[in-house]
Amino acid sequence: MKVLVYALLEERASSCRWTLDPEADRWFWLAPGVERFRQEQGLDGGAGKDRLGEERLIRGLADRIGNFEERGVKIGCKMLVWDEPLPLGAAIEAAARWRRMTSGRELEQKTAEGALRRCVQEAMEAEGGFERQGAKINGSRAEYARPILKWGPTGDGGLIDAADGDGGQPDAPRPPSAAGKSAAFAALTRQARQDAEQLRGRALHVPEALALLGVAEWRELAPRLQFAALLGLARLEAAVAPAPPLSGRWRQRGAAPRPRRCQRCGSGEAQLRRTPCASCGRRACAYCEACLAMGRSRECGLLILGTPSRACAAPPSAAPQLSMAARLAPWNLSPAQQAAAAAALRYIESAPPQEKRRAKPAARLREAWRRLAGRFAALSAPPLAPAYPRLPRLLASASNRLRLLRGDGNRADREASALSAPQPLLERDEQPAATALLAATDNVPRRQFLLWAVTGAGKTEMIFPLVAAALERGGRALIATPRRDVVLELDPRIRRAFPAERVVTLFGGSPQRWESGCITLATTHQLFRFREGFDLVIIDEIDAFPYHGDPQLHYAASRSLAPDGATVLLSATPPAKLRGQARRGSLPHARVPVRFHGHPLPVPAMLRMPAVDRLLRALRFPPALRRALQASLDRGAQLFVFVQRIRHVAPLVARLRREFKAVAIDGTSSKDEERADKVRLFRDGAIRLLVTTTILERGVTIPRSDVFILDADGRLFDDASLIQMAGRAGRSLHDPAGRVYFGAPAVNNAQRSAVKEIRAMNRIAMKKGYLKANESGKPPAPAKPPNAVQPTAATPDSPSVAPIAEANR
Amino acid sequence: MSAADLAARALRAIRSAVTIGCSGALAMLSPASAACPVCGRAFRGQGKVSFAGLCPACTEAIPWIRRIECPVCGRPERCGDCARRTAASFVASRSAVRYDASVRSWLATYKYRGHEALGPVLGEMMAEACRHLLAERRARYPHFRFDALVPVPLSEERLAERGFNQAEQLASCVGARCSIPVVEALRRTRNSGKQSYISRRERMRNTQGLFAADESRLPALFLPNDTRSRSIESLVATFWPTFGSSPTPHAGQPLRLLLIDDIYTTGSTIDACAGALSESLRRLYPGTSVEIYALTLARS
Repeated sequence: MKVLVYALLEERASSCRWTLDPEADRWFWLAPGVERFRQEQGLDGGAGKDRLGEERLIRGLADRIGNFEERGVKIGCKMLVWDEPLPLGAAIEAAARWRRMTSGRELEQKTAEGALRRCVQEAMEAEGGFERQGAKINGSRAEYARPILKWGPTGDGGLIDAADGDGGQPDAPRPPSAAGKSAAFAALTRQARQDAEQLRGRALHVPEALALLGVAEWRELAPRLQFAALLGLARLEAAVAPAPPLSGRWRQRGAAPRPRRCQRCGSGEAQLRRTPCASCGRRACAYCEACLAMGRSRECGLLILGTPSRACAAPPSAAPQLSMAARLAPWNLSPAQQAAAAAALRYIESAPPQEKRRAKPAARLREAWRRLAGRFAALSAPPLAPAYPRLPRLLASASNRLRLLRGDGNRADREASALSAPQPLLERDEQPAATALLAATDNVPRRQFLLWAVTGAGKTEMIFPLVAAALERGGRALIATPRRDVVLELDPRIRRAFPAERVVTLFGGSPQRWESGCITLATTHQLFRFREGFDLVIIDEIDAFPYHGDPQLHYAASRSLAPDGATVLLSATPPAKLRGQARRGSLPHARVPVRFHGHPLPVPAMLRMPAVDRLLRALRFPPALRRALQASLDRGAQLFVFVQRIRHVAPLVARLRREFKAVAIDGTSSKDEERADKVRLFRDGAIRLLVTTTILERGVTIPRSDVFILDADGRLFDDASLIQMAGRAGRSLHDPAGRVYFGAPAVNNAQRSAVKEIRAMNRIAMKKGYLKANESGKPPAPAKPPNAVQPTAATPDSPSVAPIAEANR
Repeated sequence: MSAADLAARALRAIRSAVTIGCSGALAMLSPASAACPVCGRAFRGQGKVSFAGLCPACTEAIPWIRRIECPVCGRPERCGDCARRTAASFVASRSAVRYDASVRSWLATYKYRGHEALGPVLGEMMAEACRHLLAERRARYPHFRFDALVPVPLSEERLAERGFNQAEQLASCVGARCSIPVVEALRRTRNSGKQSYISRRERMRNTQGLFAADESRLPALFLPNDTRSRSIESLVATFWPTFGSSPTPHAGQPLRLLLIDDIYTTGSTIDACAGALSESLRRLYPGTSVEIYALTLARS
C-alpha cells in the first residue's frame, strides 16, 4: 500500500503525517465550517461528555477553532503535501524523521518545505526506495525530487493558498462550501464513531476490517478509517514495522536497518520473508510467515487498531460492596473452589500496581540486557520473547499514569490519553514525558494470576464469578483455550451460566467471527485479531499444544489484555517456569488441591511390564497387565489405554482383541477420521477399552474410567502429560476412586515426579480439610450417597447454575 | 532497588545468557533438518526421495499428470471441451499436476494467503512439465523451442491487493530453469471478478475481450534469445552449440510462445489470451507465423 505524506504547519507547532485519504485530512485541518459543526454536534454543552472520545474531540476542535477565531482564516494551518504516494514504511519513517529533526516546533513555510523534502528523501533512501513503472526510485537527493503541493486554509470560496505561486496546484479538488462541509464533517464523524465502536479492542488487517464493517470497497473504507484516526478513535500502523528506536543513550547510531517485527504476532526477522511487492512497488517488502494462517501481515500493509476496552479505567470503587461470600454464593462452588475463586477475585480487583520511580536503574539494566539478548537471539534461534512489542501501549499507559500522578486523572481524561499513542492530536507536550516514563513503566509486571487446579477440580465453575465480576464493572471478558474442541465444549456451558449476556464464540471458520459481545470464547489463535480488547483474559490449559511453547500465541494473549486488566491462567500442570515463579512468590496464585467431589486424586500404581514394542512381538501377554485389565473390566469400568506412538495403536488393538475376546475394544489417534464417533461410543459404553495416544490426555470426561499408561517411561510422556492422563480416572462423583497404572519396564523421573505431585496435592487437600470423610489418606469407599458432596440446591436467583454443575462432570 | 534485587536480576540475566548460548551451540552441532515449505513440518531429508525440498509425504502427494489423454489440452482423461471447441487459438496446453485436494490447498495457500515461499516449489513442478512438453515436441520437430514465456496477467486492482502475480512468478521460475525469456506481453482490459465463482458459460462470456496484447512489449518477443537473458546455459550454448538445452535458432521457424497460468479449467482464459496475442501479432507483424502453446500448473 502507498500513502501520501504531508507536513502540517500550525501555530506554535508542526508535524509530519501520512494519510490514506488526503481529502479527509484536508477537511479536518483546513475546514472553515468547524464552528457550525461544533454547534450541530452539541459539543458545547455537557451532554454526551462521557461518550467515547468526546472530550478529546471537543478539545481538539476548540483548539483549532481558537486558531481560526483569533487570527482569522488566513493564518490557520497549512498542509505541504508530497506529490507522490510513498510505500507505507517510508511514509512512517519520514514522519518519524520529521519528529526527530524538528522536534515538532513551529516552522516557516520555506524551512518546512526543505525539511519535508529532506525527510522524505532520507526515508526513501533508508527504506530502499521503490519502483515506478519499471524504473527504480531510490530517493537519493539528486534523483528523487517531486513538487510539494501547498494547501492553505480556505474560505468559503475554496481558495487555495497562493502565497508563492510556484507549487500551488490549480487543479487540486476544491473543498465544498462551509455549509456542505459542515454537514459532511458531521456525517463522517458519526460514521467514524460507529466504526470505532466496532473496532474497539481489535487489531485488524484491511480485508478483516472490510468484513467487520461490512464495506465492500477499500475506496469507501479509506476515508472512514482516516477520519477515525484523525479523531483519535483508531490507530493506523504498519503490520510489519521496525522495532522502535531505543531512547536515550542506547539509541542506535548509523544507517544499519532496524530489524522488522510482525506487529500482530511479534515474530522477528527469522519468520519474515521479503519479496517484490506490487502494492508498494518495493523490491523487498517483508511479510510474516508465522501468522500467515490468520491473514498476511505485510510491511506495506495496514494494521488497524481500535481503542482499548472501555472499562479498563473504571475506578475500583465501582466494584460492588457485597461480601466475597455473598458474591460467590450463586455459583455453587465447593469450599476449595470458593477459596481459590475468592483469591483470584481479590487479586483482580486490587488496584493496579503503581509504577515505582526508584526502579529506574533496574530499568536501565534491563534495557541493556534486552539489547544484548536481542543480539544473541538474532545470532542463534528465533527470539523467545519479543523485545519491544509493548511499546505503543506502554506509551499510552505511561502517559495515562502521568496524568494520574498529576492528580487530574478523571475518567474521560484517562480514556482520552489511552487513545493517544502514535498519532497524537494534542498531547504533543506530553510525548517526551511519556517516553521518559517508559523505562519505569516497563518495569511494572503484567498482572497475572495462576489458578492451579488439579484435574477434575471444576475449573470452569471457578471462572464464572471472575467473569461475572468483570462484566459488572462494565468490562469485557475473554476465555481462551488452545484447543478448538474445548472451545466447542465450553460454549454451551458459558451460555447457560450467563443467559443474559452476549457470548461470542470464535474459532477458525466461526460464524460469529465479526460479532462482538461481553464474553468472548476463543481459540488462542483468534487473539491475533485483538488488541487491548479485554479487561479480563482467562487462558485455559496454558500447558497444552499449541499455546505452550508458541511465543506468537503468548504475545497475542498478552496484547489482547487492556492496559489495567488482569490475566488468569488455568492449568492442572503449569509449566516449570510458572511453577517456579509461584514457588518464589513472584506469581500470585491459588491452588485447588482437590476435585469438586471432595475425594482425593487416584494415586498411580506402578505396573512392571515390557515395552509395547516387545509386548507386540512376544508370544505371551504380560500376566500382570492382563490381571489388572481384567480386574478393571470386572468392576465395570471404561478403560483408557494410552500408548506413545500412533503406529502402536492398531497392533495393540488387535492383540488385546485376541486376549479379551468378549470385550469391545477399539483404538484412535490424531490421524483417525472417526475419532469423535469413537469417543462418543466409548462415553456411551459401546466401546469398553480405548487404545489412544496423548490426544485424549485432556478435556475428556468419562464417568467411570480406569487409566492404563503403557510405556510410561517413554520420552514423549513428561510428568505433566502423565498427570493429565492419570486425571482421566475417578472424575465422577459416583466413582471417585478410579484406578491408574503406569505400565513400564522401569520407573523414571517423570513417573516419580508425577506420583509425587499427585500425593502432594492430596496431602494439601487433607491438611486444608477439603477431603470428605477420610482421615487416613486412603481413598474413601466409592459407595457414597450420590448427593453427599454435591452442593445443595441452587439458590433461587440462579436457577440455571445447577444443571451446569451437573453437566460439567 | 535493593542490592539483593539487583543481584537476583543479574543472576537471572546470566542464567538466560548461558541458556541462549548453549542452545545456539547445540543447534550448530545437531544435524541440519529442513522444514517442508508446504506443510511446514521439519524432516531429515538424507537419502529420501524429495522434490524441490518437500518432505517425503508431500512429495508423495504430488498428483503428477504422467499419461496424457487429450493431445490438445493435456488432460489425463477424455476431453469434451476440446472436442466441442471449433477453433482454438492455441496449439496445445499441458499441465503439471491434477487439481486435487492437496494441489487446491497448496494453490490457495500460495495465492490467497500469499505464502510466496511456495512459488519456487510450484514453479519447479511446472518446469518439469515444460521439459516434458519440449521433449514431446522435439520428438517430432527436432528444432522445436519456445521464444518466450508469456504470463497471464492480473488486473491492476487485484495485483495491488495481492501484491504479486502468481503466473508471473511461476513463469520466471520456469524461465530460469529452462532458459526461456519471460515477456509480459499481455494486459487485462478490465477487472473481471473471481473466475472461481462463476459457471462455465459465464466464464466463456466473461473472458471475451478481457485480454489485450501490450503492444509496446511485442518487439521483445523477436529479440534473439541470448540478448534477452544471459543465463549460463545460453552462454554455454553460444560457445558450444551442441551442449546447450536450446538448439540454435533456425530460420523459417514460427514464433513459438508459451502462455503460463496457474489453473486450466475450461481453457477460456488461455484461449482468450492466445487469441489476443496472435491477433495483435498478425496485425503488427504480417507474415510471421505464430504458434501459441500453454502451460499451467494444474488441470482441473
